Amino acid sequence: MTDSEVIVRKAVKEDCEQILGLVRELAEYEKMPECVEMTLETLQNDGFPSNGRPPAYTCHVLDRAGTLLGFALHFFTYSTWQGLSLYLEDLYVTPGARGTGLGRRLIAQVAGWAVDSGCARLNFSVLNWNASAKEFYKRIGADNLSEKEGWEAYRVSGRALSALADLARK
Amino acid sequence: MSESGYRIRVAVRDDCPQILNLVQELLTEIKLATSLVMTAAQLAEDGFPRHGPPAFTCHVAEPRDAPGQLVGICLHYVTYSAHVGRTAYLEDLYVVPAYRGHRLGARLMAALADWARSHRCSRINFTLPDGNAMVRRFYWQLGAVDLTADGWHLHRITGDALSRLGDLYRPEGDEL
Repeated sequence: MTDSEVIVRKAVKEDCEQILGLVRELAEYEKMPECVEMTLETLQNDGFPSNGRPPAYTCHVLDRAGTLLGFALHFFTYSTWQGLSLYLEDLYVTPGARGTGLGRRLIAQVAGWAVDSGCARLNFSVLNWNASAKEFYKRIGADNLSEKEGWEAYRVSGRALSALADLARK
Repeated sequence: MSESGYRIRVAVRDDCPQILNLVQELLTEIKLATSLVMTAAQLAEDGFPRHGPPAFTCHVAEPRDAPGQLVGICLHYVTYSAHVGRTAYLEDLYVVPAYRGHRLGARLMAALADWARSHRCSRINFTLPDGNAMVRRFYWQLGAVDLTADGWHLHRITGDALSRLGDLYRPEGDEL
C-alpha cells in the first residue's frame, strides 16, 4: 500500500459504522475499552442531525478505497481570551497503516480546518504514558501545557453530576 | 447579603461587556501571562449570533436588588466524547471576591449541571491552572475528579506552528 492510495476527507453519515469500530480500537489502545457507551445511532444523529440542529462534532477520515484507516474527531470550543478554538477529541490511525505519514496528513487536515474556520488554537489531550504520541505531537509543534504551564484536566460526571444538578432545583 | 439575595440566570447579549470585565478579572487573579484579545462586541457576536448556533452559554449571578450588576459568571459550551456523546465544557467560572462566601460558585456550578442534564450532556469537563489548593478543594467538594492524575495532559498547537501545520494539507504542500 502506498500513501498516495489513501485520501483524507470529511466524514459522511455512512462512515459512522467504521468510525465507531475505530473508536473502539482506540479505546482498547488507551486501555479503557469499557468506557465506550457510544452507539451507531447516537454517533449518526449527533454528527449528522436531520432536524436542523448543528452537528455536535466534525470528523475527518483516511479512506483507502472505502476502508477507513483512521479518523480525527473534533469540534469548536471557545476561549474568552482569544475566541474560537478547535478541540481534537480523537486522532487514530489503525496499527497496520502506520509508518507512512498518514497521522500527520490527518492532523494537517484538521489544522487546516481550524485555520480556515478562524480558530486561534488547536487543543487536545494526550495520555502521559503514550511516549510515541507525545513525540509525534512535539514534532508538529505542540506544547504540553500540563507540563509547561501546570494545567490539570478535571471532570464531574455520574452521581456527582446528578447531585450537583439537583442543587439547582432546591 | 444572604445566599437568597442573589439570583442565577442565563446571560443575555447586553451582559457581554460585564462578562468580559469579569473574564479580565479572572485572568488577572490566576496571573496568567496571556493577552486578552477578546472584545465585548466579539463576545456578543459569538454568544448571541444573528445566524447559526451560539459559541457558548453563560450563566450569571446578580443581586436581586441590583439586577444587571453581575457578580459572577459561569461560561460553558457543548463538547463531544466519542465514548459517551455530548459533554459540557466549563470554560470560565468566577465570582467577584467581595461577593464570595455566599455559595455563588456552587450555585453557578449547579446551574451548569442542571443545564447539562437538560441538554443531554453526561459530563462537565474543565481545566485548572496549577497550584491553587483552595480552588481544587472547591471542585473536589462538588465531585470533580482530577484526570491529569490519571495521566491526561492538555496539549496545544497555536500561532506559527498551527499555520505551518495547516499549510501541510494544502494541495501544493501535500508532499510529506
